Amino acid sequence: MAKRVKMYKEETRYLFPSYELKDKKTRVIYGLWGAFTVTGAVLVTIPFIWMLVTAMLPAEMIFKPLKEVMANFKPDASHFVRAWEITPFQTYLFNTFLIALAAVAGQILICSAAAYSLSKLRPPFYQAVMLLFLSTILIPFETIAVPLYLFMRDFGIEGIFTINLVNTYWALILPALAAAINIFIFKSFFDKMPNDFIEAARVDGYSEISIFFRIILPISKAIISVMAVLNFTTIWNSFFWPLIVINEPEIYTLMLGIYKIIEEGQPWNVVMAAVSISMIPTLVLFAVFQRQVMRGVLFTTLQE
Amino acid sequence: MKKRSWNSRSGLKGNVMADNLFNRVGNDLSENAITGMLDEAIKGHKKEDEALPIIKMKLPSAESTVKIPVKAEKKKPADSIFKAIGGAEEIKAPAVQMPAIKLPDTLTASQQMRKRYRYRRYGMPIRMSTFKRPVTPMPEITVKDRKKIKFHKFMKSILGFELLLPAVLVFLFFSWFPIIKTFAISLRSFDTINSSVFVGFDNFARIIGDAKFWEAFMHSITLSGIVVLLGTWLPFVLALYVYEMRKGAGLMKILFFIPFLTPAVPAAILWKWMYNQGFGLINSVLSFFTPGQVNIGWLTDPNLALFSIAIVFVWKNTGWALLIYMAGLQNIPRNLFEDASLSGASVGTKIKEIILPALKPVIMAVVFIQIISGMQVFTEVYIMTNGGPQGSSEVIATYIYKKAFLYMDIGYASGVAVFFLLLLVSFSLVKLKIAGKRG
Repeated sequence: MAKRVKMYKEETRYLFPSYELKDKKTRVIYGLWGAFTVTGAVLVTIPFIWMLVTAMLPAEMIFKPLKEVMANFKPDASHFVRAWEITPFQTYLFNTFLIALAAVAGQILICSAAAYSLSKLRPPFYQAVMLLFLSTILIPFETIAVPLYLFMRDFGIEGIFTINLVNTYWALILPALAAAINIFIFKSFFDKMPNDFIEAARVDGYSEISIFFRIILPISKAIISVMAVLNFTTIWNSFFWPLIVINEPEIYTLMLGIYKIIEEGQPWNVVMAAVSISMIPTLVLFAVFQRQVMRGVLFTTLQE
Repeated sequence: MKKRSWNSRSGLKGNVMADNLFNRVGNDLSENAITGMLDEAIKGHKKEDEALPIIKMKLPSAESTVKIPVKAEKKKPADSIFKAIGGAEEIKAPAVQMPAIKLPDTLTASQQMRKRYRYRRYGMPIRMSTFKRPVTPMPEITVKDRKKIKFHKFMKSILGFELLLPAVLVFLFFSWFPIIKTFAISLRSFDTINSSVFVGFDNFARIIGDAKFWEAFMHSITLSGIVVLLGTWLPFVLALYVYEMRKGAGLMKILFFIPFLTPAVPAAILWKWMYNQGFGLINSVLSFFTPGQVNIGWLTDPNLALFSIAIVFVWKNTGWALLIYMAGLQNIPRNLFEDASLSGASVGTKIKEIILPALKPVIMAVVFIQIISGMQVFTEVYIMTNGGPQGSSEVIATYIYKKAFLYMDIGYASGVAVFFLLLLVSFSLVKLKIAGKRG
């Protein structure tokens, strides 16, 4: 069996099959192409290596020519400690986690419920509602930032009651809930789902809401995990909206906090140490949910 | 070879019986002995029926033949409701010639038809039964029930609204309402954030005459142009090879994908350090190969700043495009390549004739998303140059941000936002139209 698999794998080259590689010209093209790709991969990773190297350089070594640096390079991890000390990473991480988790939970619930309704129940005017949802995908966030900020300043209904939500977690969580792309990915998933489950549950006397919570949500765990990871990274990485809405250091998200470090004018090795610390959660998330991240990226692209 | 038994149904059993007989009687075969044996065998046999037919089969006697009784003709009752049936002669031979019967008008059409059918079939009409089915008592519908039914009908008609409602509310407040308000604000002029005056299309007139805005606009276009130029074919070339690799394809994919995963803020800070004029890595490496210190101001040179930012953007999105191209490549059937190889196609021909047509929709998607995300880029520009030396890397997003939140010129910023919105929506509509044309 193993042998068969191997034999099959040997045929997987499609542009340069092995019988064509005997030709010298083809082999040269193949080699050059490979060298180009590998060089590209190395070049792409060099910034990260350089980041770690800088973070481990002592302060006097930073502003020296590369030859000298390479000659007497001694790794020094003390800057990571210093970066951790000068920036309240715990607060930033806590804030970001709280916001991202709350927003993701809300998004998944709201968007999947709407998608289920649009896909299976089809209330009157559902097509118009769908079109309205779809139109928001096309609209860039930058254009609605100003009115959204004004709305957050006077949240509520004008003349009855208003609260200032600027500099609160709500200002970050609430606008993140309106992510139309989720609705469409969920909808395309539910469209493929057979109606039997729903009808069986309806015969058993479940209400529509309990059908959704007890049957549909447990079935669609796979898509929910994909969308959760994807939305989590989106909210985690967001910078533009927090920059507008958050001014108090206590509610800074991680990205804002990192940005403030560079504004303070810290030395580059400390900045790089902080940056490398800030990248750890994302990389851990990717290491754990690699499949979900890749599938989520594919879904969103193919939907658009 | 076995003998065929007399009864094909009993098969082997008959043979066995004959053998037994033969063993017991031997050569001494008299007629009496055989009949005695047969009787014994037949009586002892459990399934008598199988043996019986031979013995009992007789022709039926003449007495027992069945006589088919001839139906006696019946006279029609004279005093039936059909008094008007023709003459007496016609009644005798109803099968040959059907008389037209006159039926009372009180009968319905179907009842008349039924009567005629019966008459033709049996020669006599069958009386209509006057039996009426008793009316089953229906439950009385009270006003309360009617209300209940109405309520259920209503609930059925709005089925699914309760699940749609939260999303509609959220989108209303955080998406649709702000979009409308952007248009509304763009018609007003703000002194402070709380007081504004309606000025009509003043803001748009100012935008048209604003050289800085047009600069930012052109920068955005240039940026997304560079991003599309580099960010479309480069991942394509890489994806073709990575898909070709036997080993390490997964590793390559992840290596290219990590920049896409890194949040924009750390990436921008990292590249700011890479581009550092004096001691950044790029200048340091370049000075290895050239005599003297290389001193290129990647971010401080007005001619280079935008290009440097575009490079970061390409670096970040290559892995994403690679992933999508590879997903597209997986859908191409393999045998196409084998056939092409057999007919002597070169590598270039294979790419041109097989891969490009198959990947066309994917490439179009990548191009459009690169254009749109290139137009929207904010974080990289804001952190790396903040509009750049002498506004040379100002893009629309940073321009809106500065106008709205630094200069507090909210009406003007909304005007720019409206312009930007219309631009991107028209882009998207063009894309949708192209996609629709393709099917």
